[in-house]
Amino acid sequence: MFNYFERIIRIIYLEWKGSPCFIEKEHPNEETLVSFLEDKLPKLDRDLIQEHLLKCDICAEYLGTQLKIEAHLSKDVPLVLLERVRKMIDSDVKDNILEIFLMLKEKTLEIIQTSGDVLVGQELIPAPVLRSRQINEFKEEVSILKDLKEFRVLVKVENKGDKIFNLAVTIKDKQGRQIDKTLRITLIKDGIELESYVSDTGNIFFENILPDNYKVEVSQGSRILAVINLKVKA
Amino acid sequence: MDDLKFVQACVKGDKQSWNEFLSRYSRLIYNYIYSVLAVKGRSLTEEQIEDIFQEIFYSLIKDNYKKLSSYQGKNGCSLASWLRQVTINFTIDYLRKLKPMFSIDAEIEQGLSLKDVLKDLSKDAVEFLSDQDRRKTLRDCVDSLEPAEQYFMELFLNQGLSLEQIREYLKINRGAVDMRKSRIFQKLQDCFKVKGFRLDFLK
Repeated sequence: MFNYFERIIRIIYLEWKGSPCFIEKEHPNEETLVSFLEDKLPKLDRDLIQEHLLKCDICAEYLGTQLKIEAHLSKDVPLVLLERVRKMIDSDVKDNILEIFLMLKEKTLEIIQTSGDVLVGQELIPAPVLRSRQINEFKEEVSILKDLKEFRVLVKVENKGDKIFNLAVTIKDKQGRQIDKTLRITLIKDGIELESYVSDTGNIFFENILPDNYKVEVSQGSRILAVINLKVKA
Repeated sequence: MDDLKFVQACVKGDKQSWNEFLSRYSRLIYNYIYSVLAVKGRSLTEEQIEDIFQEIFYSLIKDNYKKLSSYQGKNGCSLASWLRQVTINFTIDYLRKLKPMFSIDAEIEQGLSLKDVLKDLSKDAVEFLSDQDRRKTLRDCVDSLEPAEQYFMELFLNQGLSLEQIREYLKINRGAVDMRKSRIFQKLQDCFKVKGFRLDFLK
C-alpha cells in the first residue's frame, strides 16, 4: 500500500506518536467525535481533539474506521435477536418504574393496583398477596415501597377528604439510609411540570392534589433515575 | 419530536418510544457492526455478532440509561450519527478484547513485527533505522510539523485511509490532497536533510 519512502516515514511517525493513551477520562465522547468529523466544533475544541487524536491510538482508530466505512443497510436484524433485545429493554424499564393506581373514597383509600409493596403495620406486602388476604382499603393513608435499580422509593398518599390528597415521596438507599445525592422530584400532569423541588434529604411533599393521572420523576442533573406513575380516581 | 426529546422519552422508560427506537435504529446498529468488521477485515461467528448487538443495547440502558443520557444533540449531532459512532467504538473495543492491541515495538501492523517490516527494506535502510539516535532525530522532524499536517499523517500512515477517503473527509479536491501529501513529505525530507540525513538513497 505504501511506497518505500512512506514506509520508512510511517515507522518514524508511529515511534513519534509513541504508546497509546489509556486514560479513559481524557477521551472525547462519541458526540464530540461525531461533531469533530462533521467539522461542527468551535476551533478551540477542534484543535484540542486533533491534539488528542495525535496522541491517542484508541480514538484515532474509532475515527479512522468511521471514515473508511462504506455504509449499507442491507442486512435484516434476525427477529429472534430483536425480540431478545426488546425483552431486555422491557425488563429494564420495569425496574425503574413504580406503578400506583388508587381510588380515593370519602375517608379511605383503595388500592386498585401497584407494582410496589404495601406497608401494613410493620409488614411489607406485595399487592397480589394483599388482594388474596382481601385487604385493599386503608384508612386515611397508604404507604407503598419499591426497590428500584439505584434506590428505594417510598410513596405515601394521604386522603385529605373533599377529593383531595397529599403525596409524600421519600428516596433512600436500599439499606434505608439517606441517599447521598441531590435529587429533583417533579410532579407532572399531561406532560406539564406542576411542581418541582430539589432535595438533598430525599423527602418531598406535594399538597392538595386533585385525582387524576400523574407522573412523578426523580432525577439528578439531566438523568431521570426513576418514574412513579400515579393514577388516582375518586 | 426532535432527537433529544425522543431520547429523553426513552430514558423515562416510555415503552412506545423504545418500540420506535428499535424500529428506527436496530437495523442501523446491526449493519454497522458488519461494516466495522469489513473495514477491519475480521469475521466473527453469528453468535458473536449477536452478542455485540445485544451488548450495545445493554450499554445504552445500564446504570439507569447513563450512556443513552449522555446524548445531548450538541453541535447538531443527530441520534443516528451518535449511534453509528457508538456502534463503531463498541465493535472495535470488542475486537480489541478478542485480540490484544499491538505495541509498536512488538507488532507494528497486522501481526508483523518491526523486524518483519524491516526485512523487506534494503540493507542500508535496516542499518539506517536500527540506529536509535538517528530515529530520535527523525522523530523531531515529525514533531516540527503543523498539527494539521501531523493529523494528515495520522489518517494516511496510521489509520491507512486512502487519499480518496481523505479527500471525501476533508471535502477538498483530489489535487489538493495530493499536494498536501507531497508538501508534508517534502517538508520531512528537507528536515532530515538539514539534520544531516538523506533518505533518497534508501532504495
